[in-house]
Amino acid sequence: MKREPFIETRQRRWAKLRSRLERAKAARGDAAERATAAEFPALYRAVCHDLALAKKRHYGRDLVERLNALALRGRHVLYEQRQRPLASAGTFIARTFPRTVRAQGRMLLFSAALFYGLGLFMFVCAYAWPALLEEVLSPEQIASFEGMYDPAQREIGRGRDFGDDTLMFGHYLSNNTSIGFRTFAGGLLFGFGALLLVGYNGLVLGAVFGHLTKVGFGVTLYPFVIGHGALELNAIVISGLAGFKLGFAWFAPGRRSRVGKLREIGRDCAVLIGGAALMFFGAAILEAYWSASALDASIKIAVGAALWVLVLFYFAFAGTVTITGTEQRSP
Amino acid sequence: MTPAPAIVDTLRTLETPEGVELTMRVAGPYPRACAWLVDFGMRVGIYVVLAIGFVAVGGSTRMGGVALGVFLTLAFLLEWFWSIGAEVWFGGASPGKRYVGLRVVRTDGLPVGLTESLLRNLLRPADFLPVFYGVGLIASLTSARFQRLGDRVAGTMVVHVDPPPRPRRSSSDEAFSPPVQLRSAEVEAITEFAERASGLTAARAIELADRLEGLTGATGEEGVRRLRGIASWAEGGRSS
Repeated sequence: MKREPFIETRQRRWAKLRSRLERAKAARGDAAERATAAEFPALYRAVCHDLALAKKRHYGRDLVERLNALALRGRHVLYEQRQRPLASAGTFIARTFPRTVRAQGRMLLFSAALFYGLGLFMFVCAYAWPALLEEVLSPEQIASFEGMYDPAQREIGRGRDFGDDTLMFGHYLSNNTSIGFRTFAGGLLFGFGALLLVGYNGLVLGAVFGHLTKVGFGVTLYPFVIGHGALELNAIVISGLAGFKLGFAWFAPGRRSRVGKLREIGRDCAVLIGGAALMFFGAAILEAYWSASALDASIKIAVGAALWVLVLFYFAFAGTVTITGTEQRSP
Repeated sequence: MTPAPAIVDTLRTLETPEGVELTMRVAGPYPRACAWLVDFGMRVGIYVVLAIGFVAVGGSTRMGGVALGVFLTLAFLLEWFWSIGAEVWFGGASPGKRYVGLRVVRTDGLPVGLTESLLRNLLRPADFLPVFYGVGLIASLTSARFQRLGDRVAGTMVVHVDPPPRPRRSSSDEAFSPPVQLRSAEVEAITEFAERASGLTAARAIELADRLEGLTGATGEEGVRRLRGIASWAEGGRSS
């Protein structure tokens, strides 16, 4: 068969597949689409067959490439994994995320120890040797933190309204989450970026807490930070954890190539950083609308402490209990 | 199987269950930079519009704080989730990539999911270092699939959607049957020569065709004509 008759006899089914692909894009999963969907795989296979023939018979590269593009688009639609990320968010929060965090073992301990350890260290230093404080923070920063948590200024009504809270929400969300994402990405640079950011944040927070405690501003500081801190501080630890996993894969890929190892752990890293992002989001809401509210300090301390217990219980136990045995089917 | 000759090109083939090899063209740094610039321009445009809108809303009243808070939130989402949202829900391509004709796929050629998209886009800062995608450029130039670091972790690559425009061989060539049995790759080479001959100078076409004098039994114009004839013969005169 010559080229022209080949095209003539086939081009109707090529056009049919093409229009079907257009429709698949436009109305995914609508009723009419599903009713005629049965012929799609056959059309796709026919085009693959035509492509193989066109190649074998040297019908010209223009035709081969056109059919190749058509077959690729068909393959995308046919083999696409229909994902509904938003619909599976519940499972993610209830099971996938806490399970993945728990499975990290020593790497999780390392990240937590680095962040909280350096924080505690700097807390003690700033408390006991105030001179050390200025190694970490500039005098302007210290003055600004003191201004924020000075009990004398905080007592009266506070003068923040819903608008200010929303402004702070936007600020906390973009600032803190971006730090988390950068910590994660920094892990890809042999782990150094994550090490730097987790360590630095631990040191600075420790220094600020130590100093404010020493000057007697703890009465305003702790009621404010305890609530959202349960989410935010641990989100930093988990972002760092995801970054350290990437960094560790460079140094100890085990019996795989480095890129192979990175791909292998990629899934877990995506779960970790995705969960951390949700935690940052929750922390921003709490920090803006709850922590800054004019409620009594004792209520905030109580709720904040309960949140810490809740978060720790969540990571310790969420997803460990299988209800009704639905999980058993998956291997 | 004889080892394939080492051809340096940007084509990646994958074998499908349908028994055919599909070819994808991976996109290099230049088209990707163009797509990035388009995306960047669009984001800047959106920032400006948002900023004007929120100043108009918030400048006067007590809503100023709310407006600024919403602006910061949207800016954050634009910065980090622009590509992720587009890749997961709108056909694997950010608007800039779509404009340039690119899309993101997994290395097995299938569309990316949320996991892959999150990884390749949240790891972008690592590729951006030290300035303007320096790491990413080096990583993609040392990769057979032009993968920056984020692409390597996610197992993704960026491909051209459409084939490049390709000249069609003039169909008026008279078929010329080669005196010896040609192998498939040889026919392909001759076909490609015939397709490109119209874009070559006559002298260059003759220079190339003269090297196949043993096959065509002619030199000069006649040699070129016969090679085109072989392409015409290959296309129409054979059945598989």
